[in-house]
Amino acid sequence: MKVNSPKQFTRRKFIGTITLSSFLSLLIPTAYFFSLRNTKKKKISLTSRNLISGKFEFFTPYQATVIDEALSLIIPTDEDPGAKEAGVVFKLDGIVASSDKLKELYTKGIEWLDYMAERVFERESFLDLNHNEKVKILKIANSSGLSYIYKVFLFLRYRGTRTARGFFKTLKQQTIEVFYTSEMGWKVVGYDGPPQWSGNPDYNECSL
Amino acid sequence: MSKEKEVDVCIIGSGAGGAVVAYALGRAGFSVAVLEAGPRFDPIRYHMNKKEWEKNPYPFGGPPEEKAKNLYTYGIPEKLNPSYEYLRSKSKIRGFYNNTDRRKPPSIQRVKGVGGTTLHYQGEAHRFSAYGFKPKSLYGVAEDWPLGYEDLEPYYEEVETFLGVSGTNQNPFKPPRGPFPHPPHELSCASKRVKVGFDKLGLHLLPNSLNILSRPYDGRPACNYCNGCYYGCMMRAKGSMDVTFLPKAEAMGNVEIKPNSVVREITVNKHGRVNGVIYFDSKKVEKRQKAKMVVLSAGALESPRLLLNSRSSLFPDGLANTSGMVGKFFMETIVYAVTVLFSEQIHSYKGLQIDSRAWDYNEPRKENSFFGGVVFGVSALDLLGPLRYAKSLAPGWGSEHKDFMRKYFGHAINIFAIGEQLPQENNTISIDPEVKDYYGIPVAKVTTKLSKNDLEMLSFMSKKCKGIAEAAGAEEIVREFSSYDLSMISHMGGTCRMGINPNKSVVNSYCQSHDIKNLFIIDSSCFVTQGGGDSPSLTIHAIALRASDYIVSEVKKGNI
Repeated sequence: MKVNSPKQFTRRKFIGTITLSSFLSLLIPTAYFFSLRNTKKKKISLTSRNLISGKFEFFTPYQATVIDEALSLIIPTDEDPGAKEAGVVFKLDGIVASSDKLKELYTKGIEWLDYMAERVFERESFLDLNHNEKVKILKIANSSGLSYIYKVFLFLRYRGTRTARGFFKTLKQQTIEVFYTSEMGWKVVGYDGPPQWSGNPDYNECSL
Repeated sequence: MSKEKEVDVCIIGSGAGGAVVAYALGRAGFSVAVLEAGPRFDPIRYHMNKKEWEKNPYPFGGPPEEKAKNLYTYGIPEKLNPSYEYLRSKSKIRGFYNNTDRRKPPSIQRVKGVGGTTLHYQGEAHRFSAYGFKPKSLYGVAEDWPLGYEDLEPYYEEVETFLGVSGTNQNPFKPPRGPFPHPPHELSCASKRVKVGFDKLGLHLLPNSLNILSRPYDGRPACNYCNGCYYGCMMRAKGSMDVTFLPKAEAMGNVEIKPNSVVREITVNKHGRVNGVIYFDSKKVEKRQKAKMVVLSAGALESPRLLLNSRSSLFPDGLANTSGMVGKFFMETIVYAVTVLFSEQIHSYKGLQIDSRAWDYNEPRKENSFFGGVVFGVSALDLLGPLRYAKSLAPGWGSEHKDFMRKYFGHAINIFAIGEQLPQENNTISIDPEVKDYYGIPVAKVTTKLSKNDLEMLSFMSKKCKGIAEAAGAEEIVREFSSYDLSMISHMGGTCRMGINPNKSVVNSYCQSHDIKNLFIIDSSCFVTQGGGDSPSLTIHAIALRASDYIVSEVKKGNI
């Protein structure tokens, strides 16, 4: 049996982190200031794109398509349906529309995905990237599991990584919430649905 | 301030203690007013039948304006003993739950509502063992209760019959007894799977005794094994107080329940007898309820808080506190749990929250490196649906996440242990004068530390739980929760302990204040010890019935 044993935050690591943080606290604002240049919102050409159709409360068809692509990387389609087939984007649209904070976060998040498509791969839109390229962008946004040094590197190299982190965390959480409270999500994992009113009269039926 | 008609008895709190007293005294013809701080809940409106139930399964959180204000404060968290680092709580996907060198304060789940904490509890209905009442006489530690198992036995039986408790009397670790009113629930597939490990270690995983119906009774249906006991039982198969004692009490006509009534102070007359309470109604309007007798049943945290906040020239240190013992000997819950994955489907989300227990260590053993009782169990706890698996157990995102969900949904189960914390005078509930709640009432301050005995007990629990998991053939441990670094308080006790000596205790064996004869404190705050890891509710019911008999008898004699 495997026993999970996470690494611990030792005193040495702590002192090292403090020293590094002190140094970076001087460097980062300067670098960040310069990185904010050239951040004009770009205009995406929409004519040739195959955008998602449907009625949205908040998202534009372009934004909805970008979100649909991103969330299909979080719960992908394979032999079973994923977030895309479950129509998560439509539910998310309603959730985002109900909160000014979420509207701002998603708007900035989508802009950041396009910015990264251009900055990293020199493409106009996140939609222009192939699967692996999209995954790479989302990994930067996620950044969990990355070393502290690499996070600092990303912070200095790309603008908006902090917002991106918040955006990805929210997108992941909401995608998961919508998917696993949908009938399609239940079917994928073999769940029968809410516990009541049918209950589980078969709870003790097993070969043990 | 508006006054209300004087009643014979004002009961503060409608949980495991207050509800039973309301029923028993109502039956004896007393006029009773029950002041409950929370609202009424309608079981049919709980969330377990909703499509999105997993997003917000817990209905007992209370109104946002109250939640936003302080509920209690916590003393300076204790430094963790580095010798027990291996007991840290951790998760495969999250890492350590507490990365600091101090214990994380508890998030105490206090349920305000008609029915009190029984709305939320998992329905365990345990009689304490005989040892539980006499640890000092039998083992020379802690303190004896001023009553014994034999004093409570008839009341245990009465309350089990009233509620329709299910269980087996084939339990070699408990005093001999007759059959339960209803047969035990059969173990779930998950529990049967884990039982293999218990068996290999020579431990006896037995059907739990539960206040959850195994067959229809008293107008309530049998359980349908939705496993949502602690999110409120929609079926009413769990005998929480709101569907058992309280409706019968209200039907008598002389018992009135007043929800959303938050008591600020218990008042006394010039002779030093209690004469009622001052409380806020749902509109935050201050009111007075006059009463010939007051029964305080607000739990081990709120009861001492109210007594200590009820200061007057006659009682400058708070009510019932000439001994200085109110708030002392607070006992928290010593818990250890591992979440394990099995390779085969065990549908662990189906069944009852805690359908089985192993009482092998319910009494102290000489070979243990600690003193006190420990009980082991199996439970899905929070892992009741795919969303919880996705958030708590599944790694990352993308294919890795989806593959985990398909492979392991229904395969995870918790093996856990609960132990008793020995009473320590310095573990206390006091008043934090600087911090007030939504109603402007100073809040309780919790101060609790683990002793060496607690740490040794946790160490034992950890080894056993992991041993059971391994012996059962579990694939992997993916979470560990431990009281070592997370203070998890579910079963609180102490703070108004009962005893014979008025200088060392707050109430007598009938829960009557030593200082004020018409004041009773009937909840787990009067517990002297915690009964070897058993759940407290049935014992609260039993002492409430016993105290009620005493009240009726003493009133008849003209002694109160």
